Amino acid sequence: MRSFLALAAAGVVAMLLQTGVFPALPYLPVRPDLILVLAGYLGVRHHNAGGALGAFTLGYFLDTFSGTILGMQTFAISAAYVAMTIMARHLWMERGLPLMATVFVGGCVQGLAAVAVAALVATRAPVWQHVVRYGFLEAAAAALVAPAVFRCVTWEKRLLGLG
Amino acid sequence: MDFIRRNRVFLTSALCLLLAAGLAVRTGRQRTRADRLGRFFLEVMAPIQASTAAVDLAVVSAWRRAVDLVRARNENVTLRARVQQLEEAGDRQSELEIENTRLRGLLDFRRTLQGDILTARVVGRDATGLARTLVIDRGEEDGVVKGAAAVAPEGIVGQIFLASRHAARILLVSDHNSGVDAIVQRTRARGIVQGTIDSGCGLKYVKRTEDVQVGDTIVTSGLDGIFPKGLPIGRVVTVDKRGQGLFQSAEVAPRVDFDRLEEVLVARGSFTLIEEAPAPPEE
Repeated sequence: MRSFLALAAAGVVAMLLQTGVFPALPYLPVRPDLILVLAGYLGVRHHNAGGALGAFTLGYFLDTFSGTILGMQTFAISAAYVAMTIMARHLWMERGLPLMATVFVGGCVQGLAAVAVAALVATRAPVWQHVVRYGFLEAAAAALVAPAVFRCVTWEKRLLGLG
Repeated sequence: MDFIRRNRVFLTSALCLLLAAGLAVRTGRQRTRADRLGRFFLEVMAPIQASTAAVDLAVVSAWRRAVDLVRARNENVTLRARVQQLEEAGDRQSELEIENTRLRGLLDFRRTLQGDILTARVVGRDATGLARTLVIDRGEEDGVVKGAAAVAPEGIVGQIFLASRHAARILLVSDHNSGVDAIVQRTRARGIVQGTIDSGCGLKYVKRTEDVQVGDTIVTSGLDGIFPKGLPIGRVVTVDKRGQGLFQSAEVAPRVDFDRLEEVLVARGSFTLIEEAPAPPEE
């Protein structure tokens, strides 16, 4: 329960940053998706059904504040979680470059999954154009901030006595 | 059962993905949403977002201030460089303007002289403080010979006492070895202008009975065969009649500022003044 609370709090803070601070910052060409990074945290540290459900919830949370298609980000974040879980099972990636690489791959999968959903529901929104233009950059931005986000969540959990 | 336990995470994920895809398919065509969980999230986040908006604003303001500072610093560097460039260009232009004015004055003065006159640039000054001489960049190859007169728009400068092929030295009228036959412009009283040891000039051998007053202009008499008649030499600053002899003397301040002289006119042979010399240019 406390672990859920820690991640929920991290999700709220991430969402506040993504909806309030990042959009207002000038000269920021792409914004890192902190929710994706949190899903990455679940993928790396929580290889269980709780992690999958957490990623689903985070995606749903993102869907609430992003776009009009309910389920697009839920699907994309869940897909990214699966990809990052698979990578985490095969690589040792507690920190550093492997961690960033995992989140980068997760970001790419998230973009592709969003394109897939957009194609599935035949939306008019040019999702694929956005992914082609900014997908790699957004994934890279998320990968860059991933170590810091992981450290913050670890610190938060330690604060809550979750070790 | 073991398969399910081992792949629980992927099975759960697959279920989640199916559920998400279903949600997307179901709501993809709808323009509005009414999902309860979404409304719950929105409702929970709204007060937090509202209360953190002020913090956001402060963060954004701080960020913008930082960006503005960086931009201002860069602009400052650019503008400083530009100011320096402009100052250098301004200095060059001022120098050119001053030189232009000086040369125009020299040209105007040259028009008042009849004879073979050469313009020379001052390239050096006396190596010691004992004598008053100048080095010019014209020599025998240009027709400059020993004894030739050197003048400036302000007045006489001196005469050539040494000439090489490409340079010459002028003995200034303020040197204590020089002597120029002169008259007081107002009273036509005659005397000799000689340099003094303290870089000024003195008017000597003027009869005691002659009228010489402070402020009188001293001009060349034309009798020494070097300078034509009427060229200004200087102005009387003091008159001394204290001696018991036949003559009185006066201290003369030369019209030419020898320390700032940059160009002179040198006569190649005899020359005359065809009209009164113009007033020296303002610096």
